Amino acid sequence: MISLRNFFKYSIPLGLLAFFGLTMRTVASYTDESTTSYGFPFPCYGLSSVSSMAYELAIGPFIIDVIFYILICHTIISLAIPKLILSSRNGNVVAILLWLTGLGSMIFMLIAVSIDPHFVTWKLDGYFSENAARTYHFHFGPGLNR
Amino acid sequence: MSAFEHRLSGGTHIIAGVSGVQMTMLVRNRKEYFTDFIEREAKAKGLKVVINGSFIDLSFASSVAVRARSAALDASESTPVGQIIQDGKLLAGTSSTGKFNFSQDTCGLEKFSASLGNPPLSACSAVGGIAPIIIDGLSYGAQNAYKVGVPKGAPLTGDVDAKFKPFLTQKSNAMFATLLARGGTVGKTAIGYSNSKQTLFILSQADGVAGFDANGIRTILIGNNVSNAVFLDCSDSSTLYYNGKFLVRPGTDKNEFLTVAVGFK
Repeated sequence: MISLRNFFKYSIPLGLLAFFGLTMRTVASYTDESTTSYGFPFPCYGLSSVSSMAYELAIGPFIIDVIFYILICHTIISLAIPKLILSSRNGNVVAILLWLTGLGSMIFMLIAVSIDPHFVTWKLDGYFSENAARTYHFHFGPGLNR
Repeated sequence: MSAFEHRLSGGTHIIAGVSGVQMTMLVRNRKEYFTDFIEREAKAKGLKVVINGSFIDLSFASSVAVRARSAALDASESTPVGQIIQDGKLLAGTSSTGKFNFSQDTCGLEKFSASLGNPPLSACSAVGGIAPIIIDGLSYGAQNAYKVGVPKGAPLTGDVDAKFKPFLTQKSNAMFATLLARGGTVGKTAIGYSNSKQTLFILSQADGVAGFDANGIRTILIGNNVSNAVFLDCSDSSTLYYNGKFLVRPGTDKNEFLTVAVGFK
C-alpha cells in the first residue's frame, strides 16, 4: 500500500485526470426524443435542452463519481505502479505533472460547463421513466455533446 | 402592410402580428456580437421584430474561450442545432429529426405551421431543432394527459401506443418538461400562430425575471386560439428586438456566440 502522502500526491490528481479523460455516456430515449448524460458510476452532467450550451449538473452523483475515480486510481497505483516511479525525485516530477494535468483538466471542464449551468441534487433525466430505453457507452474526453 | 402590437404581461413581452407578417431567418456569419448582428440586420432588412432562434453547439475549446475572454466568437465556431431554411435553401444547421420546427411555407402568405422533424426544405423560412408547445392543436407538456375512459397502462411520458391515442389530450415532451422544471424565472422565447385569428404571437421573457412558467406560456397561447407554437432557445439566450430597441437582451456569454435569429416584418 502507498502512504497517505502518496494518496494526495498521485491518486487525487490521477483521479481528476481520469474523470476528464474516460467516462460513461448514458443515452435515455423514447422513439422521438432522447437525452444524453455523462458520468460513472452515476450520470452527473449533461447538456440541457432548455438553451444553448446549458448544462445540468447533479451535485450528489458528481461528488460520488469524483471520489470513486480517485479510489480506483489509488487502488491501481497501489497495486501496479512500480515503486521506482513513486520514489524520490522521479515521484516529485510525476506528481507535479499529474497535478498540473489533472487539476487543469477539471478546471477547464468546469469552465466549459459553466456557460449556463443548472444544478440539481441527484437525478438528471427524471422525465425518462423506467420504460425508456437506456444505452451505456465508453466515452473518451469530456462529455460535452448532445 | 403588416402591423405589430406589443404588451407586457407578468414579465412576458407579447407581440401580436397581423396582416401579412413575413418571417425571415438570419444567420450571423461575421465575428460580431449577436445584438450588433440583430441591430444591423433589422435596419438593413426593415425588420420590426427580431428574436433569437436555434440552439447553438460549441466545441470544448470554444466553450472555454467564451467563458475565458470577452469577445465575439467567430461565427464559424458556432453550430446551429436544427436546420435553418430561407427561400427554399438550407442556410445552416444540422438535421434534428426528433425535435420540432416552425415554418412559413409560402413567402408572402401569412400562414405558419409547426411539425415534428426537420422543416420542409421548400419553405420560405423555417427553423428546426426546437421544442413544441402546441402542434396542430395538440398541447404538449411535461406529461401525457388523457380523456376519461382511457384504458389502463397509458404511459405518463414518452411513446403513446395506438390504443391510447384517441384519448390523448396532451403529449409529453422532454424539452418542455426540462423548461417547466426551471420555473417562471428562466428566460423564454416562443412563437405561435393562430389560424382562426390569423395572428402571429411572439413571446419573450428575460432570464431571471419573474414571469410565467412553460405551462403559463402555453395557457396564454391556448387562450389566443393558437394552433401551432414552439419554444426556441430559452434561458439567457432569450432576445427580443422590437421597434428599433432591445426589450430583452441575451446573457453576456450567449451574446458572444449565438448565431441564428428570426426576424419579422
